[in-house]
Amino acid sequence: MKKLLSIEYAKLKKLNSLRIILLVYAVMIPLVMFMLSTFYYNVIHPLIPILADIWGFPSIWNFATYSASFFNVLMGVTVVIVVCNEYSFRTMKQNVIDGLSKRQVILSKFLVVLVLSTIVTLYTALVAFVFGGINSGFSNALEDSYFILIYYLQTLCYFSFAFFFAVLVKRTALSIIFFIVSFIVESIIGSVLAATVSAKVYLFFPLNVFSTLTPSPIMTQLNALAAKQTGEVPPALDLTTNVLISVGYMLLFFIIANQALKRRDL
Amino acid sequence: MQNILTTQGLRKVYKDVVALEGLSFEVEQGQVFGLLGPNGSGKTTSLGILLGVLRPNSGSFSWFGKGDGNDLRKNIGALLETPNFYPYLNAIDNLKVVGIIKDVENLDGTIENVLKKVGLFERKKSKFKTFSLGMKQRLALAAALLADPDILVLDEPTNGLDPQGIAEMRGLIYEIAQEGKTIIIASHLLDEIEKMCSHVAILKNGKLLKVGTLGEIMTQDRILLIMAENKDKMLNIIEARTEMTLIKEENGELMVAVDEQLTPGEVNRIFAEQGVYLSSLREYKKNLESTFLEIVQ
Repeated sequence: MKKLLSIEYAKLKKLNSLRIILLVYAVMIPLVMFMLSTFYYNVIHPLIPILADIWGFPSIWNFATYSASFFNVLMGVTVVIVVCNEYSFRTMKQNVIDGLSKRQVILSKFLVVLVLSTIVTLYTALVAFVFGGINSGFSNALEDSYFILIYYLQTLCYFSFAFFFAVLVKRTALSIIFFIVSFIVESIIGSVLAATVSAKVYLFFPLNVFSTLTPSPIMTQLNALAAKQTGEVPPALDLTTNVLISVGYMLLFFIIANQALKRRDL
Repeated sequence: MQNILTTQGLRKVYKDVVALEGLSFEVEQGQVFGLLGPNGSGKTTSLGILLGVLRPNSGSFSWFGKGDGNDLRKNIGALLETPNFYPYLNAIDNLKVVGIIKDVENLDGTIENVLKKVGLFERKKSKFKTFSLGMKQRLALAAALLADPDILVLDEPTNGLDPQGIAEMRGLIYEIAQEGKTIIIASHLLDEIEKMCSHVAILKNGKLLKVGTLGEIMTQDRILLIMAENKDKMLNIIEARTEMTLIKEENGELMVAVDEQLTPGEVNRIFAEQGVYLSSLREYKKNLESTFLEIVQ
C-alpha cells in the first residue's frame, strides 16, 4: 500500500493540471462560501429573519459542505485526468511491464481517489472550522459535524463516477465531456420524469442522490418554513436511505471500472 | 545452462484474427534471441503476452522456470513498442517511478549510473516531452537497465531512429550483450538480428516457422540465382519441383532455394532437360535476409 502511494506521489507531484485544480479549489471554497453568505445575509435573511445563522456553528458544517460540493465536479475532472493520462501516455501498460500487477495498478488509482477525497474533505473541514469559530466561537463546534463525513462520502461517490468514465472512455477530453454532460443529461431526464411520471423517480438517480447528500441549508430552511405554513412537504429521501443508495452506486461504479480494467488487454 | 523462458502453445485471437497460433520456444541464459518476422507476424503480441499486458487465449509461459508471476517481471528490463513515460516529468523523476516499482535499492545512485551509461546524464533534468526520439529510446533502455535485470526484452529498439541513433542503440545493445545478459530482441531489421543474435525464431502470420541457432537456421538450404530467356517456363518448372522454392525475383534474376543435396550442376541439368537453358547460374552466399525470405515466402 505504502509502495503504491509512493509510486502515485512520484507520478503526480509535478502534474501541473492537478496543482492548478487543487489551487483553484483551495481559493474558491472560501470565496464561494463568502459570496453565498453575503447573498444570504443581504438578500434572504432581511426578508426572512427567522432563518438560522448559517455562518456560525453548527449550520456552518452544512453550509461549508454544500458550498464545497459545487467543486466536486472540478475534482472529478482531476480524477479523469489522472486515470486517462495513464492510458494516453501508455504508462499503465509500462507499469505492468515493469512489474506491477493489474490489481496493483487498479488499487493505486483507488488510493489516489481516496487521498484526493481526504485532502478536499480535510480542507473543507478546516475552512468550516475557522469560519465557524470566527463567527460563533468554538463552544458547539462539533454539533452537526457529521456533515464532514457525509461530504467525504459525497466526494468518493463523485470520484467513483469520474473514475468509471475515465476507465471506460480512456480519452481525457472525451471522458471530461461525458462526465460533465452526464450531469446535464441526468437533470433533464429527471425533470421530465418528475413532471410526467413521478417526482420520486428522480430522487433515485445517481448524481441527484450524490448531490442531495449535502443539501442547500437555505433551501432546507425555506422548505421547512413552507411546509410549516402550507403543510406540503417536497419529496425527499431521508439521510440514511440517501447514504445507503449513494454507497451502492459508488460500489457499482468502482466494481464496473475494476472489472473492465481487469478483463481488458492493456 | 539455466532456462530463462519457456513458452508452450501460446495462442492469441483478436476478434476473428488469429494473431498468434501455438507459439512454443525456449530461451536459455546468455542467449541473444532474435524474434524475426514481417509486420503483423505476431512479434509484439508474443512479447505483450510474455510481459503481462496481453492475456493469451490459451497456452502458457514461464520465466526463470518459476511461472508468469508479476514479481518476476521486476527482473526483466523491457521496451515494448514505444518508450512510455510521463511527459511532464524529467528523466530522473521518470526513472524514479520505474525504480520504486522494481524495488531498486540506492535509487538515486543507480539512476545516475544508468543515465551515464545511455548518455543522458547531461539531460537528466530535462522533461521527457523535450526529448528527441533517439533520447526517448535511450531513456527506455536506461529504465530497462535500472534494476540490473538478468534479461532484456527489446521490441524494435531502433524503430524511428536516424542512422546515427540506430548506430548508437546497436552499440549499447551490443555492449549489454557482451556483459552476458540474456536478450530477446524483436525486429524486422535482418542485418541487426544477424549481427547481434545467437538464436533466432522466425514468425509469420502468428505461426513459428523456424527456431534455432543462427547457424542452424542458415544452413538448411542452398540459394541459387538463376536467369534464362524463358522466364515463365522457368517459373513453371520451379513450381512443379518440391525441392525448389522461389524466394524472390529481381531484375529478371530468380533467387531460388534448393534442397542442400542438389548441386548447381544438377539444377542446370533439370532445367536443360525441360528445354530451359540457363544463361546465368550462381550460388548466393547465404545471409539472414535470404534465409528469412526463403522461410517466410
